[in-house]
Amino acid sequence: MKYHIERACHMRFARPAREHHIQIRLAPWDDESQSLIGVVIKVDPEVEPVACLDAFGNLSHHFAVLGAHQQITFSVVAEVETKRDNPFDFQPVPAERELEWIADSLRQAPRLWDFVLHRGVLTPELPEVVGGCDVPGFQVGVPLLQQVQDAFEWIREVAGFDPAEAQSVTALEILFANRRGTAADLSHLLIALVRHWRIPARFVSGYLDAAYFDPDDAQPPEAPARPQTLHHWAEVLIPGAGWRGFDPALGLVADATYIRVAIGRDANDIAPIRQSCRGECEQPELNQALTVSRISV
Amino acid sequence: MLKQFQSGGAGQSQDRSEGPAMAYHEFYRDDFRPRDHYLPMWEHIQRAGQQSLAAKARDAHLALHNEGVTFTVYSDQDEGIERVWPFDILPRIITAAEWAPIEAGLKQRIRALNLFLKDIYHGQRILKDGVVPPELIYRGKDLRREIMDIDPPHDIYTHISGVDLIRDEEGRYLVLEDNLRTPSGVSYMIENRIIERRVLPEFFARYRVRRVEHYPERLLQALRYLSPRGAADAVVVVLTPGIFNSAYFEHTFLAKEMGVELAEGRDLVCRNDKVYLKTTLGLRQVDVVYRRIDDEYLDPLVFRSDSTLGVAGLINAWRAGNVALANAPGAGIADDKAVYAYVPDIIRYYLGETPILSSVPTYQMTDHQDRAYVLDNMQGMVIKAVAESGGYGMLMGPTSTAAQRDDFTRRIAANPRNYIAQPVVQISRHVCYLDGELESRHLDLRPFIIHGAEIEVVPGGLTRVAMTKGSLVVNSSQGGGSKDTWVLAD
Repeated sequence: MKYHIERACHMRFARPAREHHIQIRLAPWDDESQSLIGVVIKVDPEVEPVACLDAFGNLSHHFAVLGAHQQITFSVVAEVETKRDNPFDFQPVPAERELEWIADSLRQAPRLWDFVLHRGVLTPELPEVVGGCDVPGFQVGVPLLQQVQDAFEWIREVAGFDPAEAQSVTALEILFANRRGTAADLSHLLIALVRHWRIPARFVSGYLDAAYFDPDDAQPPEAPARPQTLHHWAEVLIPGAGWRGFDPALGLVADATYIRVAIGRDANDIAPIRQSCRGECEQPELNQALTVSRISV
Repeated sequence: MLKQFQSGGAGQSQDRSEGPAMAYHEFYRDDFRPRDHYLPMWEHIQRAGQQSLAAKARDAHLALHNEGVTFTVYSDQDEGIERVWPFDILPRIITAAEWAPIEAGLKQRIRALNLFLKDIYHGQRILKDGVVPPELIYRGKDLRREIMDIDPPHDIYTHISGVDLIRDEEGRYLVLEDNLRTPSGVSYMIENRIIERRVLPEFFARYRVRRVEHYPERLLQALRYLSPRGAADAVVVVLTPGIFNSAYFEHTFLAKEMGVELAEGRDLVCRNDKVYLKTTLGLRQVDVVYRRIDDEYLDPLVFRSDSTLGVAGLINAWRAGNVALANAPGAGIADDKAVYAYVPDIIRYYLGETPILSSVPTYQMTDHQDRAYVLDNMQGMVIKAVAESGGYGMLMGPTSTAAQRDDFTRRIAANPRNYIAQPVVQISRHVCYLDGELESRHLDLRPFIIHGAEIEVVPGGLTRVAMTKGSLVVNSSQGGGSKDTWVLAD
């Protein structure tokens, strides 16, 4: 599917800021599951943004406004084609050989260890019981894809999906206490569980075309609470398939309606906007607008 | 005491009883006579007498005080306390024959560690080949993912290193730890020499001592070599966190000696992936930043966003190849104390050579057998936090209390990757002139290595002395002192 994405941000400072450096991770990914057809970034006051890939392969852009200013506006316009119409379309590895496949992948690509070993407040080591529910252990002989999907049910028992606060991210401890969480929080819980099994899992921030349902599907699934277009989910390294997206908020495996923008160990790695300025710059007033339009199926 | 010393055996045998019997004595032979290369100095002391040494020690202290050669000690209870640099006037002397393998061993080590860093931040061949466990690296506090795949100028990561050496009971030099981030102490090495030349010129007349005073010149040469715009026009700055940093004296010293600007983060600004120094004549492009700010505080856009010490955009400018940073961010993963145990393997892997310098046996707390052994033998161990330096976060087994050992047992259980243990090495001793007497104290040696177009080991280094009788802790932040270190030309 092809999408046209427009995202605009407007920052206003109460007092003039200067030497203002901004780094954004707002351009969609470009890999085998998704092609970035083009991206244009405009900044007012006019400066030329510079692109680079970060440690996790995210395309980031940075720019600076050095003189005194009280507002900055920037926009990201991108076109992207998503290709993973059927996330289950891959040659599976026999269940009894899956751990061997994972171990081989870690040997060949040691950078994957980051997605196994990382622990933090967002993805801590899980105790044996959380929220009154036993943490499921890894079951040898059961396909990993199946186990991750089964984990959706466990996550639902631990905490419900709260679509109201799309952007907020909290420590898992708070999620356990509140028993409700955002898509990001539930994704962190899934990641913590999969890492507990010593399987690579990572955090994805992106957009979801929630309005789409397959016209060939005679019985479209009952629509769950409709999330905003901004969305977060997790990816797990599935033997035989590579990275596959899992959305614990909606209980779905990510398909071509999920547009990936940034990937990291957890949400802290991939803040969409990072900035630094000198002067008496307090937190700016930030207004954002986003439209994601499907332009072809 | 001095009289006893002059008269021979009695004083020395008393002196030998002060420290653990096993420690190697660098000054005395086993027959209580000074070693051959100390004889000219010893004869001179005998002739000059105690009054002369006492006066010289006072002169040295006064000179250090007048020149403002200080350092800062931190503790939990109070803010930094600034002290005059503690200096013992009796030099440590290393013969040319002793120095040759140290120099070769340090060059070998730095060459290998640079190849290791290049590999870790690029292809990770050594992890794929299973020589170093990937978990060790990916659990390391000082792995900087943010610099993955960035190519530093000339592939050099550790432009300035300080490698701590000790001598074991046999007198063999062992590497105790590598300092590859922003090692400090070099200014004290130079100040020690300046003071020593001033107060003991007669000693220098008796020896051919290799120079260390040219260090700033060599450092500048190495930094200029990194310049993306060529060495001839290179603009170099020393980036300091500011006056409250414990090594601020050294930052000002090096900037002054090299004749370059000392800058704080607010004096620099990045524009279009280039770094500029703000001057009264406008912005001046900077080619090389000798940064004395820790990685985490270097660039708020990439590392800690609350840092006001660094320069926003610095890493992007470095990635673009428009500025060189010395040392490279991320170098700390190679001086992680848990990685230290693998350095001999790292040398063999990249260079195909046998390590020239030996290491101290190191127990990994992530290994169950190692950990059980260490916990059963804590009183014979030094336990160290892997990413700490300056003697902080360390348990000295022999002098520890039961409560301290319990505390470390808990800490290790909570985060085993964060600790390593080493058997207590009775590090060597040397005579010091303390309060009018000759006393033996334990010491170590931190030579400095500059990696520019070539790798150069400064002939000498900072000898740190544990001023407390019997103590094995030499860190200046823990009350250690220092000596001038002479490497003889022949």
